[in-house]
Amino acid sequence: MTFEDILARCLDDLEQGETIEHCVARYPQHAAELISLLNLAVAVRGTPQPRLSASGFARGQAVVAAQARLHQAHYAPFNPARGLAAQKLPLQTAPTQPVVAQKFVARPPKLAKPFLLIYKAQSALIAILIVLSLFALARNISSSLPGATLYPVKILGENMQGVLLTAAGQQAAWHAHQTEIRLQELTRLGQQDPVASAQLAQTIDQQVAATLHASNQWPTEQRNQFLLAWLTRLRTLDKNNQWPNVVARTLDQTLATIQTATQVTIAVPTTSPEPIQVVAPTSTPAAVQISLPTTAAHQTTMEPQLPAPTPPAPEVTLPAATPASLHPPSISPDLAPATPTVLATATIAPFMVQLPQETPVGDDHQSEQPNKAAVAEPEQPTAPVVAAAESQTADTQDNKEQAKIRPSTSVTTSLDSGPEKASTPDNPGESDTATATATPAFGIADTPTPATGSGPAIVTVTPFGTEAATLAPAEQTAIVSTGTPAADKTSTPVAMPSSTESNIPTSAPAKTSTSEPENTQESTATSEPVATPKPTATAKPTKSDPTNTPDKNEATDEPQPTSTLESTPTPKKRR
Amino acid sequence: MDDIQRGDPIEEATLVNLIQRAQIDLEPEAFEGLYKLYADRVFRFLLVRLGDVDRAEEVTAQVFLRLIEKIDKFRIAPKDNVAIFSAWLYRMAYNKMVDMLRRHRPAHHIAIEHAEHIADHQSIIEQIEEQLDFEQILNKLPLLNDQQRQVILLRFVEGLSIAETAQIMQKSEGAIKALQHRSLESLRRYLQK
Repeated sequence: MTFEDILARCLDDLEQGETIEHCVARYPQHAAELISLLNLAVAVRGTPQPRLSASGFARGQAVVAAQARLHQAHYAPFNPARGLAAQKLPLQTAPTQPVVAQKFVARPPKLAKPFLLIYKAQSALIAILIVLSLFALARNISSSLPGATLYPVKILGENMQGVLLTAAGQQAAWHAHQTEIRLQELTRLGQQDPVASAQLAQTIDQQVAATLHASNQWPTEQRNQFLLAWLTRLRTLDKNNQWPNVVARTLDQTLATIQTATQVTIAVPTTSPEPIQVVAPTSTPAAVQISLPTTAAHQTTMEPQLPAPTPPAPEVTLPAATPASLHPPSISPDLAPATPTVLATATIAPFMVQLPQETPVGDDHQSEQPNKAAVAEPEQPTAPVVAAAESQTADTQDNKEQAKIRPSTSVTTSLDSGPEKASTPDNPGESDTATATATPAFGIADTPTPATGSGPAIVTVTPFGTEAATLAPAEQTAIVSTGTPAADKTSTPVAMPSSTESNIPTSAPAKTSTSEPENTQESTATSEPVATPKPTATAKPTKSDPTNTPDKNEATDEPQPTSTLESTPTPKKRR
Repeated sequence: MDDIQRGDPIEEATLVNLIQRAQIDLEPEAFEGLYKLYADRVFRFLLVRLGDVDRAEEVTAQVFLRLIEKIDKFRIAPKDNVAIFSAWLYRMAYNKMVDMLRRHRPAHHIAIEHAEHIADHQSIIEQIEEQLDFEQILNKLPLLNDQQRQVILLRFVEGLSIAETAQIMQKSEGAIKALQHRSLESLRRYLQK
């Protein structure tokens, strides 16, 4: 026990009436120090304690009593503890709750204030006014037109929304929505502000391009559904004929662009009794399924020189057409065949067609350049076009028989060929260098582009001429032929309108050429079968195909058992 | 209520009764009873710390006005409500004193003559002697630090126990014992000078 404890115990004993001597006697070792401290403590305790003066005490008591009465007058009616007044707490028990509603006690009764209702009504009124103001402001912002004060705010909000939607992967939907909004603004703006209308038209074009670009990576079906739905929504705007030119022109242009990019199925007249599946392999992920208007005159057939082989290389490099080369999938009346043939579309899975991004369109100079594209197998010998064409068209009866076989064994691909300047078979040394490095058992049907010469065409490569090809379905392969002016007679570029987002080779054939040498006046995409030992088919169009890029395009048509077949029209009987 | 006189010893039942009446019914008489029981104690507590009777009286009245507002905050314990309530009230007085000291400068002179520390029945001579004795103590108390003075006041003027003092000063009992020892040593040393 320390001295502090001894001192505390002695002080407690002194309070109990014990004397200092008894405490010191218990702790003789601390006697001297204890005595002095205990005496001092007793002296301090024994001193008279100061008290409040009588006046001070009375004054304080009066103040406390007055405040207590005031406190009771204010808070006693609202004191929730009054309900507990009857049940007095026992002396040795703690209350369950101290005093619960101290806030009610501390606050004066507010209901007594006459302006309380007015105050609350004012608050509610102010809140309502603020909400209405914000709502009106939002409406004005959303309905603002270019040139308005709030229009930048609208654009800012849309951009923020666009950032979020882009981050969420809804970029295409966002641009499509922006296109619709801008079109609506344009229709509302009318002729009020020509400058703003022009800017809006430009913005709309950008949004359309952005939408198509954003949706370019989608699957085909999803992209088609999206574009068709978008097109449907936009067509709802096309109801007013009183629009100014800029509005109508912009809307028409927008609709045309979207329609071009959308897959369209067209009934193609053909002599073939069975529907032909058309395959248009493109470089874009979205496979384009097109039914092309073809006639017998639009197709170039190729006589088989060798039995149908099995091409080893499935990849075909196709030149891509620029968007300008794309045409709506409408059939020109003058080109509509008399005997329609429905070409069913399908996709050739094994074919991996790579399309360049840009392709010269309508450039005859480029189209006349010799084709320097590498052939898949350039070392293979090729046969002259004329010979092949002559052998192909020698007997029409054979062609008729082959036409019966073609629907089940041919594959049609899009071909960008210039109909006007298509190579002719009688000029093999210059332009009729379309060689078929593949098996000669394939016929190529070319569907030239419209009069512009830059439109895509469809080439149908049809294996025919051999009974083995027809009797052996396993050898039925899809061939993608391209029409390119090839000087080396080996490469076969394929003209594919894949530069646009739609990758839809529009079929607007003007004229087609056959592989027959006597049909020299017709501009055709000539496919020349070359007797090669390897079972690869390379169809080369004429050099006059403006959409071809012969330098870089390489087409290697390899029949694949799993490829989708396209029924080609019957061989042209032009004599 | 009527039987409560100024300076009466505080009993547990009486105190609890007053607190309950003050909390539930807000009776002014209950607050007056609490004032009679604790006014002089609070005054001494403040006088020792402030050294000024006028300020001590002023702060004492403010402490009880604060008690009227805060009486609902107090929780009645199963026992030892006297010590708990005393500690709570002293703490309230201490806080009020601190507030006052923040607003005003502390007094340097002790107006001990204004303190009515002599009973009416005491003779003049006794009043003078006791006044001198307490005046000597008060003159030496400023030499101590705050905690030593507070311990001297609570333990030997107010007569509180070690536990009550520890509760008021928010220290342990061991610390109060040590502080009590050092306070008596210091006061004895200063009185011997």
